[in-house]
Amino acid sequence: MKKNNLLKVALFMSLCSTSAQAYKISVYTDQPDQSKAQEVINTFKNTYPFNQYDIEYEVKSVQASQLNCKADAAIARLPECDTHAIVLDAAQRGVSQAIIVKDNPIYGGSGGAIPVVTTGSPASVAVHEYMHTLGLSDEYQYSASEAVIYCKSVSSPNLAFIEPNPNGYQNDSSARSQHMGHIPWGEFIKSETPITHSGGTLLGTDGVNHDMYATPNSTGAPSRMGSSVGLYEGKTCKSAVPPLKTWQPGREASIMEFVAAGLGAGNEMSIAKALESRGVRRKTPLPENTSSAINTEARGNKAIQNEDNSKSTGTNTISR
Amino acid sequence: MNIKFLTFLSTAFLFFSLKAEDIKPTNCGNLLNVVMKIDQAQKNASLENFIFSKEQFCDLGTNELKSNFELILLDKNNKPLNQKSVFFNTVEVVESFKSKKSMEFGKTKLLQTPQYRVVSFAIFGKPETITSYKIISKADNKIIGVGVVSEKK
Repeated sequence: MKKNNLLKVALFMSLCSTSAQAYKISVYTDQPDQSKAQEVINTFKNTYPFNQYDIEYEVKSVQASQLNCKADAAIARLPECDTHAIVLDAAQRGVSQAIIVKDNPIYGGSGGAIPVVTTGSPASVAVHEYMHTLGLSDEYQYSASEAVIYCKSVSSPNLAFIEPNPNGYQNDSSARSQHMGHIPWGEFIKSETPITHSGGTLLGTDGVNHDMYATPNSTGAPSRMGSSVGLYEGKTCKSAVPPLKTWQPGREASIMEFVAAGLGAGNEMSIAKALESRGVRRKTPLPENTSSAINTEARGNKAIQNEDNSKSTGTNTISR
Repeated sequence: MNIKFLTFLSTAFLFFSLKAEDIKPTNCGNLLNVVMKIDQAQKNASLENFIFSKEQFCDLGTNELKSNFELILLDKNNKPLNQKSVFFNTVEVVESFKSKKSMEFGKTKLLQTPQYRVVSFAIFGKPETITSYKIISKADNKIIGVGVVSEKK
């Protein structure tokens, strides 16, 4: 009898500690077979760094009326959802984050406080939209009308607004002393990676190569393929009036520009930081010198070219 | 073995299972989930619903990355009891694609309609001591929302 009681206590304690600590994401869907919602969950579970964190996922079936979405005629009739009822339900059930998968064949989604994706979209759209929820910005070029609302010189974890000195810089150190404080991912830029080019006189490690995708990473370790995290000139606010220079952490186009692309090493680190700042805990500490699998799969019409980055270190040490 | 004793043991287990540096006196308590609303067009914010629970919760996320709002829960004397810095994406981006085969984003639309998110607090003490709240925009340090704590709606 005593042994039974002790077992009950141990089980109760472990259940309590698990339920009180895990970050819960609930995918609300009106799709009858829930297949897209399951696909979304599997995508998160197979995407670094989300797969490193103690996140509980579930699917919650709802009626279409409960999602309260209406089609927007101005934008390909994509659904816009009034999320109050869903968020209230999430709060009542101890869910930290709701995601909506709307049964709709149109290809698209929306990102704000609650990510919304249609059943007609690839599951990676949900990752893109959730990254908006965590604070990351789009890396594709906004139109002039969108730029009026969006391009307000407020940096985000993956987008910095920095106007270079018109007279240039003496050297990389000089540029660093002026600008590192304005780069949200600055702590992830290695000391040996310059944030300038042309002999340290012009700002930017390089420009973003929009023809090269960051490799999707389903391993348990940070991306190794591609360029070092640096300061790469993007194009998000080129259509603003006047045009604004924006900078990104990776040379390769990431999922914030093309949904077929991976997060990129810089965004992976920013996402990890965002999750931890929300109290999401890592599953287990990573072992030192863990090697990541090499991702060589080509995506879509643009092949992924894996650059041999001569500036990277020879070993795969994982930082916390 | 009664439920109160089991609850005590689970709380103790939870407490000791965390790293020492994670634990602060105000980090752990009963879970309070609120529904936060931002109306960017009206430039105001509010806490719409309060769901108090006896579930034990240790809040390790009191300062979210790129936080843009400060949420403060107050007692009847306006003394802060609980505080949290949150990031709330106030602009909803509706994104379409150029085609089903293309991975390129097409037409987008930025909305400033009211948005909602869940914010969790760890309440150390009785729930009824929390009587009101205020929300501060960190961009300009202005109070953009005040209100009273209401029962679960």
